[in-house]
This record gives sequence, C-alpha cells and structure tokens, in this order.
Amino acid sequence: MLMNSKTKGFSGWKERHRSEISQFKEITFAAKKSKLTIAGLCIVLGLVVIALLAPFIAPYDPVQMDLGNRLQAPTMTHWMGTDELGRDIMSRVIFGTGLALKIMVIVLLIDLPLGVFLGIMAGYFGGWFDEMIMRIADTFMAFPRLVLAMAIGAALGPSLVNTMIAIAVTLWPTYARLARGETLSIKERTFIEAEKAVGTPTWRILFSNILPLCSSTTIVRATLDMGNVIRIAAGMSFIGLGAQSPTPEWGLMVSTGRDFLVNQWWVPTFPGLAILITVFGFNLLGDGIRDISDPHLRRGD
Amino acid sequence: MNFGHYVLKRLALFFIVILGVITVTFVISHMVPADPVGAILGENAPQELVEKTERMLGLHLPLHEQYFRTLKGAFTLNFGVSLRTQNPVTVDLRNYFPATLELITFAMLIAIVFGIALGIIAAVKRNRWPDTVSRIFSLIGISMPAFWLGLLIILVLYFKLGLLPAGGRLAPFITPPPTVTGMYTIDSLLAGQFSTFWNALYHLLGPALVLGWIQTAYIGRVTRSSMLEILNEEYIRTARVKGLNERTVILRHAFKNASITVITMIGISFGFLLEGSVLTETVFGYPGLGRYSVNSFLSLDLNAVVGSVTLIAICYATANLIVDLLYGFLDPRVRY
Amino acid sequence: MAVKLLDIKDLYVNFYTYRGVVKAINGVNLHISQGEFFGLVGETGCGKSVTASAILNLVRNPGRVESGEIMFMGQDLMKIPAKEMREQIRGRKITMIMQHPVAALNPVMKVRDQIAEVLSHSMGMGKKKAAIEAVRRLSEVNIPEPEKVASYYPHQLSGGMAQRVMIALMLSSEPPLLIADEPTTALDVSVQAQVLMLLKDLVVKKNSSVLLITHDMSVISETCDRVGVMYAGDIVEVGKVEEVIFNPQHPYTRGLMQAIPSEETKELKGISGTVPDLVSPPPGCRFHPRCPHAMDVCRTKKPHLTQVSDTHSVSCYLYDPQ
Repeated sequence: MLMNSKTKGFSGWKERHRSEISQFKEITFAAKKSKLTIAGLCIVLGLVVIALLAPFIAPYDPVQMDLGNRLQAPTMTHWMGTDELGRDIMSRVIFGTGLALKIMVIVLLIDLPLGVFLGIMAGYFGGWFDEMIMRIADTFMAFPRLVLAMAIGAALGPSLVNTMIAIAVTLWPTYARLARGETLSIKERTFIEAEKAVGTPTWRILFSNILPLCSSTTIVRATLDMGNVIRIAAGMSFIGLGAQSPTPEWGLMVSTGRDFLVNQWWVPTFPGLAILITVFGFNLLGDGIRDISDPHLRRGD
Repeated sequence: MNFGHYVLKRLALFFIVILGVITVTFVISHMVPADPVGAILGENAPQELVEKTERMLGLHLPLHEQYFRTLKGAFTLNFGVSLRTQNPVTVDLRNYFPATLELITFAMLIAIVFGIALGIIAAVKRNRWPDTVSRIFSLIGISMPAFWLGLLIILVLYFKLGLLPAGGRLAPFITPPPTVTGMYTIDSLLAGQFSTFWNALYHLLGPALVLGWIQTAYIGRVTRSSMLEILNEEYIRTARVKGLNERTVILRHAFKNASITVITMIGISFGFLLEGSVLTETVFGYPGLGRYSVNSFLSLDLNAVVGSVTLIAICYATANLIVDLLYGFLDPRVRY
Repeated sequence: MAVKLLDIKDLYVNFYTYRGVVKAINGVNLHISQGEFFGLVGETGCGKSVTASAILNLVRNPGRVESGEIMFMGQDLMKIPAKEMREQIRGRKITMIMQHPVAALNPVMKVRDQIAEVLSHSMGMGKKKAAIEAVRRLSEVNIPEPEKVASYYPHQLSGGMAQRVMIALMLSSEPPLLIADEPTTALDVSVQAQVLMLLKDLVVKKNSSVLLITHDMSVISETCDRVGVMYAGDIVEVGKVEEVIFNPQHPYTRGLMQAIPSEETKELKGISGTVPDLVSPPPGCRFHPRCPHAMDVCRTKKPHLTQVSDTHSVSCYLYDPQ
C-alpha cells in the first residue's frame, strides 16, 4: 500500500485499515438487526456478571445446611426454596453459574488449541501422520459424545475433573477435522506458494497465515459447542459421574432433587431451568455469530 | 470417482472404524484406575470370590490377550456375562435393543413431520414473527437438558394430570406380543393385538415426546438454514421469473434441493436420538439399551460396558454411513 | 412511429443498506418498440440490471422501487396485482436470461423437466406433450443430440450449452419481450458470438423484442437496433446504434467511445475520475465531476432527455436550450 500523506500517522491509521473498519461496521449493522443475537449476548454477559459477583449477590452460603428448614417452598426469604438439606437453592444456583462457566472455559481452552494444532499439522504435512490422526479422530467421532464421555468418566472415576477430561477427549476430533479441512483448502492457494517461494520458514507460514484463516471457522463452531459442553457436564453429574456433593453443580442438584419431584417440585426444577437458560443464551449467541459470519445468509436480508 | 467406488471406500472405512471402536472401548474399560471387581463385589469380599470373578472377566490374562479375546468376542457377538444381571450380555442386548429402536423410530417420526414444517415456515417468513417464534422454540429444544425435560413432563403429565403411564413398555397386566422383531408396536400389530398396540404406544409417549421435541428442534434448524441458503440461489430467481406461484417455488424448487441436506440431518438425528435415549430412558424407567448402558457404567460391569458401548457405536456409525451413502445417491452432482 | 411495447417513465429505485440509502436508479426513462433489439450499456454498478429486475418486479432485497411507471402492452406493471404479474406476465410475456446459466438452472432437475415446466405453466401443455416439446425446443437452439441433453442435469452442461438451454426455456412461451442480463459475459469469446447470433435469429423469426444488458459496446454494435447508455443510475443518451456509436453526443458516451482502442491508438485513453458513491451522489448531473464541459447549471439541476434528432436523445445541458 502506498504511503502518502493520507496514510501516514495516527489519522492515517483509519485510512490504512479502511477495509477492516468497513467490515466491522457491516458486522455490527447485521448484529444490531438480529435481535436474537443481542438477546443471546445479554444473557451470556448477565451470566458472567452473576458468576463474578456470586459471593456478593447470593443471599446465603451455598453449602450451609439448615436441617430445621428442609424442603421449604419458595418464599420471600428463600426465593427458590430450600433443598433436602435446608440449603438455599437460589444461592446454590448462583454459585453453580460460575462453576458451569468454568467447566466450559477449561474444556474449550484445552480442546481448541489441541484440536486445531493437530488438525493443521495433519492437513499441512499429510502423509501417514495425517492418516493416523484422522483415523483416531474418526474412531472417537464414531461414538455419541455423551456415551463416550460417560464411559471415560466411569472408567476414570466420578469427579468433576474427570468429567472435564472426558468431555475434552470427545470434543477435540471435531476441531481437528475442521482445522484440517480448512488447512487443506488454504494450502493449495497461491499465496502460500508465494510464501514458500520467498523462503518463509514453515512455522511462520503455519502460524501467521494458516492459523488465522482457520480460526474463524473453528471459533464459530466453538461458540456453537459452548452450550453443549455445559449440557453434557450436567448430564454426567446427573448420572452421578461428575460433580459430587456438596458442590452446587446444576446437574447434580437436579439428580438429588429428583426424589422430591412430586411434592417439592422446586428442588430439581430451578437448577434445570438454570441449565436451560445458560445453554440457550450460548446457543443464541453462537447462532448469531454463525449467521453473521456466513456470507450466504448475510446477503438479501 | 464414480459412485460404486465411493460406496466401497466408505464401507472399508466403516469396518476400520468399528475395529477402532472396539479397541477404544477396550482401552477405556481396561486401563482404568477404578476397580471393576471391587465395584461389583464390594470392598470386603473374600479373596477367592475376587479371584474367581477376575478369572471370569479374564482380568488375569496379559493385556494383549484380553484384547484379542474381546475382539474375537465382539466379532462372534459374545461379550461374556454381565456381572450385574447375570445374563450373557448378548441376551441382555437382544432384550433391550429393540425397545430403544422402537422409541427412537417413534421419536424420529414426530421430529420429521414437525421439524420440516417448522423449518420451511421459518425460512419463508424470515425475520417475521413465525420465524422468530420457531427459532426460539428450536433453540429452547436443543438447549434443554433431556433429563430435565423428562422430569418436567413426568411431573406435569404423570403426577399432576395423570395422562402418562407409570413406566416400562407395557402395563403390568398385559403380556407382550409374540416376538418377531422385539418391538412391541410392530409385533402386536402383526399378531392383531390392537389393545396391546395402543398400550405400547401409550408407554412410548413420554420418552418419545422428550426425544421428539429435541430432534424437532434440530431438524427444524437445519431445514431453515438450508432453505435460506437455497432461497438466495440464482435458480430460485429463475423459478420466479418463470412466473411460478410461491408454493411451487418453495416446495418444488427450494425444498427439493434442501431435502438432500435435511435427509442427511435425519440420519444424523438417529445418532443424536441414540445419545439422547441414554438419559431419557433412565429418567422414564424405560427398559432400553440406553438405560442398560448407564447402569453398566455406574456398576463398572465391564462386559456389559464393552457390549453396550460397542453396539451403540456400531449403530451410530451405521447411521452415519447410511447418511453418507444416501447423500451421494441423492445429489445428482455427486452421482453423475 | 413503431408501437411502444415497453415504456419506462421516471423510475426511481433505492437500496437500504448499512451504509445508508443507495439511490441506485435516478429517474430512468426508456422505451422499447415491438420487434426491436435494444441494448442497455454502462459500467458495472450503473444500474442496468436493477432496471431489468424492476420491470419484472423482482428487485432484490434490500432494494425497493420508489416510484415510476412501467407501461407494458397497455398496462402499468407497477400497479397490477401480484397474481396477475405471476400468471400473465412473468414467464409468459416477459422472460429473462441471466449471466450464469448453470447456476440459474435447478441442480436437481433434468433439463427436460425444467423446460417442460414453463410449457405446462404458461402454455397449459400436458406433461407428456410438454416433455416431447421440450426436446424440440432444444433442437431449435442448435443443441446437438437434444434427446440426450434433455436428460442431463445442469452441472453436466458447459456454459454455452447451458445458456442455450436457458434461451430455449425462456423463449418457450414466445414472449413479446426477452430480457438478457449480461448473457455472454461469463462465456468464452467463441461461444459468445454463437449465443448472440442465436438470440438475434430467434428474435427475428418470432418478432419478439430483446432488452440486452451489457457493459461491452462491441456486443451492442453487433446486435442491437437501438441503444441506451447508463451512468450512475441515469440514462444519459439513447438512440439508434449508428447514431450513438458514430455520433456520440454525451461527454460520457464520447469518453466511452474514445476509450475503445483501435489500430491507430498509440495511447490508451480513459475517463478521468471514478464512479460516484450512490449513497451521496453528486447533485445535479451525476457525471459533472468528471465532465470536461461542466457548467454551473450541471452542478445544481439534473438534466432531462433532450432530442437531438427524431430518434436520438441526450441528457445534457450542452444541448438543452437553458
């Protein structure tokens, strides 16, 4: 790009990045038009706020038992009632928010880099390495996620950490495949040939060129998966393979509350509602992001 | 590569994957810190019993021998005996698998009818209220934890309204129809036992409602996004230029193209349904493969774990295989 | 004076986008007579395709026809009910072929069925008869082995073949007006000539009119009777092909003609400046920033079409007695 008086300096920054700025404007315009995406964003942000402020906004200690007050219906003192050990359900739900978010972040933080790394390596270098990784990925993907996670979780022993490991193991193949697919198509493009011709070291090519192009698809896919991670983790805890008492994990709360379904409906219902709202919010957001970044759907709106 | 080659290649891949599945299941169930024998027998079991159980499970053999035993067993459909039920695992599977198949098929039918309708309406009325409503419905559907929805439905429809039966596949006073497929609905129809048929259907309602709701959401979403993409294509414009009425444009031109993707999604849905059945059967007390496998996990019943997980994975992989082949067959661009 | 088949008066079309309102069509006036081959030429983005879409009331989102009259065979197309537009006009009296023929055909329908559909819909033919007739139409457009091609799927066709299928399809109902929106732009040069000759032939045989949209002046000179030059949403000049090409009056048209290199060209000549931003277009005559003869009035008031001869009009103050 020609550097002239218009493009130099700070005010020139706007000029130089004109295409990025216009893209950004287009994205925000599309985002604003989609009320559902905004709703999703609000929900997710709300959840983050609740999680961060949990110690301040929860009215009671989530693990403190009060056996004299067991199984109270929702009242002004206990907005969501109390559970079988007298613990305030709302406080437990609030603390459960942070837990759910933590689980999701940790799992994705492990899986995304791992999966993308393996995928790019497989796609770029090909050969037996590619075959091997892909066969392993195919094998893992041949199991329904929940079943595989449960099997691994059962084998490792019931605990929240093992649950996270189990879920992480089931997720990486998806991202590896995605990254590999992108890498394969990018690899053939002329500008990569040009880089090679100029003598750019391989790691540079992978890191500065291929990685950024892969990341948009993988991130979109990850946002769609965020809700799923929480749901699978809750499912595992429901069965008894995940979080253990007295951790205020939502799935666990539904499970222990199941015995009281008939007469004290609030015990399993509110935690389950929390799961629903959380997963819903993430799915809204993920959908919105996917809609916006897919050029097909943007046209003709 | 013509279609025939494609099929062969895909089949070969399938078998390799099945092999991998058995291997992975083996690895998971054997290289674990948890103690399977202790889980069944308890901590203080006499040493003899412990050793006898270990022999029965083949745990005394070196690992690679255990692996070959498992492999051989899997291919001869002999997974050993379930420590929990005391039956050969294969017998258990034969009892429970048709129940799940029945449930899944019923749920699938619900999902196909409602999902496609929902998706087309949402795409055609894009960004107007039917679209928004159906999108929210779909999103709630896929966000809902199946086990929670099951509990809610049990609470409302069973406890409060008494509209659903207590659990199981048939009312306790009804005898199951003579076994042809193992699926009570089909078998009772074949035997002409109509009251049994309705009773079986009645018992399927609860879990099928849960599974069906969730799958309707998935199919609705895919139908909608596929239709939206297609409605932007040049040939839809051509159809409009031809002056065809909107219904013809939507159904004969747009949906016909979308149906390829939708059918693919239906295949994938079978896999999701299999996955969903695990928790749903547990919540409803429905005696199917899903509940059996969960119980196997929790009690570390090794043979049952290997057997049920392998069966589930084979079904899942088969569904995916059929989807792949079907896609190749339906899309003329792949076939010719 | 020949019978006016199509008469567009004061057409305004806007597009509502994230950058603002794009005033894409700024008061277009043009007419086409029966049996006439009319060319609409202009740079990419000047609004030619939008004009064509407006005729069929198929302007793409987020565009909207703001005002104007489109008289066709005695009716104002802007005012007729949607049902009539669909059943009587589209596919029957006005049809359109487009730039990417393979993409414009339904990928999961055989060629025969797609043509038969038009025959059933607009001519009321029964299915069997339509299927046979479809093959005959294919042979009319010089497609070899029409029986075989009829059972192909669109992706099996080459670009030129697909465009011929489209032509066969769109001429099935013998429409009085065929719109051809850049029909040869995406085709190889050798195939271009064939398709254009085919169009011209068929038109002559059936006395239909054609509105040909292109950015290529040479195509116009080969095929058209009359031509309209568009710039940034305005018609700047319109007249018989010989008049406009050999005696261009509008500064823009002159610039276009001069830009075409010939044997004697030593230096390539362009038109200085760039196409205006239609969100905030220049006031008055939209060409004035690039015009070597711009006067004060050009900057404030939009010029109207003034007649330079019986058949030749220009939209420019150089000829407007003001």
